[in-house]
Amino acid sequence: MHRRVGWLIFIPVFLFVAIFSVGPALGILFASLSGSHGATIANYRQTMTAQYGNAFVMTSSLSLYSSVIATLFGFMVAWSLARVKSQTVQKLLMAVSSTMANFAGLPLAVAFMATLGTSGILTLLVNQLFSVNLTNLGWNLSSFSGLLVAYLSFLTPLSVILLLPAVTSLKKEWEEAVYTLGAPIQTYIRRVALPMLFPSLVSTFALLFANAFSTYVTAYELAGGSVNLVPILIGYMVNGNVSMNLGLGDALSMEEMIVLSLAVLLYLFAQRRSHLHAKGGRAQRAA
Amino acid sequence: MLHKLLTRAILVVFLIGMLIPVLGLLIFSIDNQGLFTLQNYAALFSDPSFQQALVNSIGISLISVALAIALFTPPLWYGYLFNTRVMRLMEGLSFVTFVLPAVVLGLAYVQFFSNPPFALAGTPTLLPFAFALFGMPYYIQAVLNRLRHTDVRIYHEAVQSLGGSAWTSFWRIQFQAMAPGILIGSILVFSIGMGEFTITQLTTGGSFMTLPIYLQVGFQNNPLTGAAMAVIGMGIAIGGVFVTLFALSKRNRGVRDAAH
Repeated sequence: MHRRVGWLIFIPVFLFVAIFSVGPALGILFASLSGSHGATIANYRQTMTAQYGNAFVMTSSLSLYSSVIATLFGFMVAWSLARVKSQTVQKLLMAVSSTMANFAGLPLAVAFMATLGTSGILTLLVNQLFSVNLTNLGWNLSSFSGLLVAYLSFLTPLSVILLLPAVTSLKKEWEEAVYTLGAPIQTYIRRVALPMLFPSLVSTFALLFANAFSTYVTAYELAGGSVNLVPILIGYMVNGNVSMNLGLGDALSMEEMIVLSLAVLLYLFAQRRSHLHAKGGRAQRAA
Repeated sequence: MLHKLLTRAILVVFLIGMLIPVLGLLIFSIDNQGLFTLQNYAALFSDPSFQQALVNSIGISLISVALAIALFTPPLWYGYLFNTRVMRLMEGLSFVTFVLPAVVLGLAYVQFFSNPPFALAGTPTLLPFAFALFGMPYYIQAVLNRLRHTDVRIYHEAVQSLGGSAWTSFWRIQFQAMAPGILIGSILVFSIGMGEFTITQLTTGGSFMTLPIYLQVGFQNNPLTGAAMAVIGMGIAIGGVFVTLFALSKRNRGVRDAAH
């Protein structure tokens, strides 16, 4: 009786996900495989042409660079934060991280245009103080490097939030044991901390990569069509800004979903390893 | 010593990096050729379109929150206490949103909901469902973390062994334990609703004015008013974070009181 009630409670959620998530996703799968003369893979073939293939390379590169840098810098920040004694500083930096991780999308794009755009506050200030024109130096917010900087501003705090629990879970005794044996902190980081944190670093990287790969609004507002990215192409498809067919947009969407699925699988795998690590540590301590 | 200096330097660089776009935006929104002014904010609040966008955003976000509470809370509560398979399924379902980004979902909705009897594309009807879907993983984690953190199962068994009724266990223990999680989850869903742009733009074509749509149009027409709007958007994000942190700091009080 109890079990039946449990499954009944689950039915509305199941229907909700089926209607508003899985159903539409299956819809684009079928649409991507349909043409005017029945089933076809022509749409997928078209996504392999130079323009769309290049969009995948560009999106992957941008996601890879931004997620690797954000993971490494986020790790350094989390490491430093865990060593700060002042609770106030810790709380302040955590609040800043939480706010900035949520500060993505349109407001962030506007903030970057207002700060580092051609007439941005910082661009003008640098010009006024040092007589240096950032644009002449090659700085362009609507370019690959401009997007990279913007992506880092929300991926890095997210990385800090994700990595801090893992970093703080490192036992102080392990570090003290390394020092007692006469080894420097570098040895502790290389031989103890990094191997312990490796699964968390991989899972954080995977989540950041997925986040960067699916970022649309920030890229759309900052770069528009000047950087060839998959989410922007799909967005143009819906807005009707380019002469693309719906099937092609569906095929691009399916391919994006495959990339994101691989990132999520990597995340889940690394999470599992991380839990096994933790369990192993607990078992060893108990023994 | 060197390590201490290095960690401090890293934190300072991080803080500066985070504050630069925020300060740039803030100064840009109040700058009037070297003089500071609040006229961009005044212009914003006196604009009827802004007021309408604010009402629309709050309304849609509140409906999303209600949907999230009604749909996700009962199976989470039941799954955690009585059937872990239901709980695992809920956790598994939440990953669906990670592989289905807003732009893809927008394209899917435009095609899937264009024909009768579900011709909903072009109207705001789909928005609360989409926002609840995007908020699903965060809501689920917020409630599950609460249930796990307070280990409701043990308290539930204690109430039963002391002869307490199922209602006492639910109202005095389980609900008290879940309430901060529901609050945090609701705040997260609400802030997703207040800031979501992609689905709104793609499914309604921008015809339904929400704050993010207003911000985009506003920044194109008048960057200064747009910047003021972005500051307000950031204020909402900061407010959400602080309310969440405040709720978290009070997390154990309810259950501890009930247990005593």
